[in-house]
Amino acid sequence: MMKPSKFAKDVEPGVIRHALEGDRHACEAIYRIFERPVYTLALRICQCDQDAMDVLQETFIQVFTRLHQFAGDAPFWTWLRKVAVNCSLARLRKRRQMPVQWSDPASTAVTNDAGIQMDLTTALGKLPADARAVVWLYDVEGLTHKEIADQFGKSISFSKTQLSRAHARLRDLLEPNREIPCATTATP
Amino acid sequence: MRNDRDPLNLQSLTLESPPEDAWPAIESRLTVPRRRPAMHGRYWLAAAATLLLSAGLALMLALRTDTTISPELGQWIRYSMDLEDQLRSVGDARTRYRGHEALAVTELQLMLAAVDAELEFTPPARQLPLWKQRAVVLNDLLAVQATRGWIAADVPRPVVTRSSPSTLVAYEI
Repeated sequence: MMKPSKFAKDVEPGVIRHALEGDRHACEAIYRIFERPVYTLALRICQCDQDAMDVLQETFIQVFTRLHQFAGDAPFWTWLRKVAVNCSLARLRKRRQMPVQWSDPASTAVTNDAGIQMDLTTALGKLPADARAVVWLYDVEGLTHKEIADQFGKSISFSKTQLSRAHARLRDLLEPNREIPCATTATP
Repeated sequence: MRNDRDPLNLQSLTLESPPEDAWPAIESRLTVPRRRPAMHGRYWLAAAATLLLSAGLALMLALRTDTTISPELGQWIRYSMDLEDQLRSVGDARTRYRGHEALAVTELQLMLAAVDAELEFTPPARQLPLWKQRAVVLNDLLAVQATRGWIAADVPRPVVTRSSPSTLVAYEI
């Protein structure tokens, strides 16, 4: 069974109401609840510390200036996550038009854990940007292919294809010596 | 058991923390959040007053701290403040506007916010056109109110047209 998204945190309606009225303490309370999930999402998708910081700021600027658009018919965190995903993908698109030296993904990994954490983080960083974003949104955030396709402005097939490629590539990276099943050949 | 949704267990990756606290930067970039009156209830004037209060603060700060402001620029800044005073003096947050009026006001508010945002990053030497534009927008906001009969007939205010903002130079401070 899939674990809930790390964004899945309740916010008191009163806090949202106060933030809507311009109460900075309420705004900061919301920021403190979601700063790490937003930063992590941005870092996994963008693979760059500075971009992740920019996305973090942009996300909360948009959240607080568009708070009146939150309809309240779904949990607040799903709305905030959507803003964060939009900002992260917008940053990816911007990066495509502006080639720069990205930071080494391994340098941002948590290294004091067992090897698997380091390996996963490094392997993620080696994926093409779209595949990386799709696999993160699908596997970790639990978005559907339809939702991912909408976020990218592409088809559901695009999401499925990217996910399949991402899984295959990650398996190759994580298990390089894995035996690949192949058809048996007849021996004389 | 195989997890079809997350076969590689990416969810095992822990949350990362930002290398520095981003809140001060976010807070400094925030304008006062406000409701969009055109969409919900149309209590637009409360939002306008809030917007103007924050803008007025910026204006006063500009006048107080910047000694490089030319006399002409100073004249336009004070004119802007005067227009805001007029708007505040006739404001009534309980009054509702009809749809097309609310849309017009919302559009003007957005224009005003855009000008203010640009002013924030423009050095005084290049601010004059922006302050002129600001005055035109504020006059338009006042004009919307005038059509509702909110402005008493004896309140003096200069007449400005979009096509000739330079007429504002004649404004008496």
